[in-house]
Amino acid sequence: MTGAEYSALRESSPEKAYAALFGNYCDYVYAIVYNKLRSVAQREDIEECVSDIFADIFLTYSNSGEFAGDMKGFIGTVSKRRAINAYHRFASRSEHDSGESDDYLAGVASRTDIESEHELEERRCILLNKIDELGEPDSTIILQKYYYDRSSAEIAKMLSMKPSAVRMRASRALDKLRKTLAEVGITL
Amino acid sequence: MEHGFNMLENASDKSLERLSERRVLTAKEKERMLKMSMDKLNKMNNNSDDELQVSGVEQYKRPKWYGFATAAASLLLVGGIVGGGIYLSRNAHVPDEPMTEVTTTSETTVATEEYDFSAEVSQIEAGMEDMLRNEPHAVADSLMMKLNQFVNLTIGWNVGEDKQVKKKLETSSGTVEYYRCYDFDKPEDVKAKYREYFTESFLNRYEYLWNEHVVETPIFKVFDGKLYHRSENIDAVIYSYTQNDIKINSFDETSFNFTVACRTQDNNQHLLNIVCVKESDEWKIDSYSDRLISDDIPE
Repeated sequence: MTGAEYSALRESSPEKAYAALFGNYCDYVYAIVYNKLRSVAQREDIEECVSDIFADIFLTYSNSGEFAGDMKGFIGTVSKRRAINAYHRFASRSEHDSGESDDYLAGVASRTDIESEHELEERRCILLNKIDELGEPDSTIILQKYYYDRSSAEIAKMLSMKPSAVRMRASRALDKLRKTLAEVGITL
Repeated sequence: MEHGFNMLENASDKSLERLSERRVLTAKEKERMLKMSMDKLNKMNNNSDDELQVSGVEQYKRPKWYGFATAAASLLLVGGIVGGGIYLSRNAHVPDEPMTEVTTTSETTVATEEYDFSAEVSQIEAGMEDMLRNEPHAVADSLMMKLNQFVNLTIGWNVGEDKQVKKKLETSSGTVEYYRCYDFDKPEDVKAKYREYFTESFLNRYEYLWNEHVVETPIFKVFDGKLYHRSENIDAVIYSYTQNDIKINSFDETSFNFTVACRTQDNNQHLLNIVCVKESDEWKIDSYSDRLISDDIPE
């Protein structure tokens, strides 16, 4: 959905425009927020953050025509910022006190840090490639079970399968994934 | 939980896109979150009698201050600039003189032209202030958002630009087109808005933006009592980074220095050094430097 399409739809029916925008981008926004908050927040908190983001976007997206093109970049950025703020809130509640959080006397960022991040990103790409190679429904099962932490029952409902089938496929897919990753030097 | 999948955390934009290409949510979850979003929107619009329902239609008005405040909290992605960022970075530099505490009075006000959100704003600001006092990274991150917004001012971000309404200015080097800006009345208003996040000395280095006594064709100019913007035909500069890329070099009650390793859309790597001071209890950027450290740069 482009900005122009959204604006045009909103002229005639705001609620349809909001629903359409949400439908187009909710998976994307959720993926961003979950990626940031999965280690510090519960699923309800993540959903709360996602709904905050969409409420924000619905309210502030301009009709001026600046974003006649793809809205994804704008939405992605709003999502990341909100997710980062939410991360700080949850992280400070669970772990840190203010004295510790002030102790940030790190040096100037070095090229080594950038290179480490680059290496990590390469590993992520490889992991995602190997997950893709599993094919469906195994790719979705693997991600839902081991990244999104869903139960086999939840995944089964999502994919119209039996929970036992999900468990079996998850186990086999994980074994296969470990083998293919080991071949390229990555241990899961 | 399979711990090996933790490496997917804090993923790049590209990896996030790939993650979102697979099915993420159930229909029920989507429905629930949409309803939550709509409820929050209704609450923000402060319009409980004429709520936006799934089947209803409601005309809403965006309060100007809220639009700016949340736009300041988000990056607007349009096209891609390289020249503007490099141009700005050529003109931005760490001050030669040592940093001194600024004593000018802050002009931070929240305009509530259409809705009285003052109670909510105070609550939000108090919460944010509390968080910011304890979280240097959060301060740095918040100020980086403002910087990203500012460096793209020359291409008309956040000024309510309408390219359909133009004025032409004949100059010694040719015809320059200006486009109408609806969010501000005069150049001073634009500057005043950015004074909330940048010091006077910082903004004084960018007089070409709004002072026609400095340049023949400032970025902002008034024609017939209305504000226009000379939108540069260059791509946006967006400094992308993660929390791990922010390094706090020093932090005390009145001054704050941090470094951010960023990437721009052209995949170049930059090292930004940001110097901030506190003015009337608000952190503001006083200067920044941008060093290109990409491998693509020839020796």
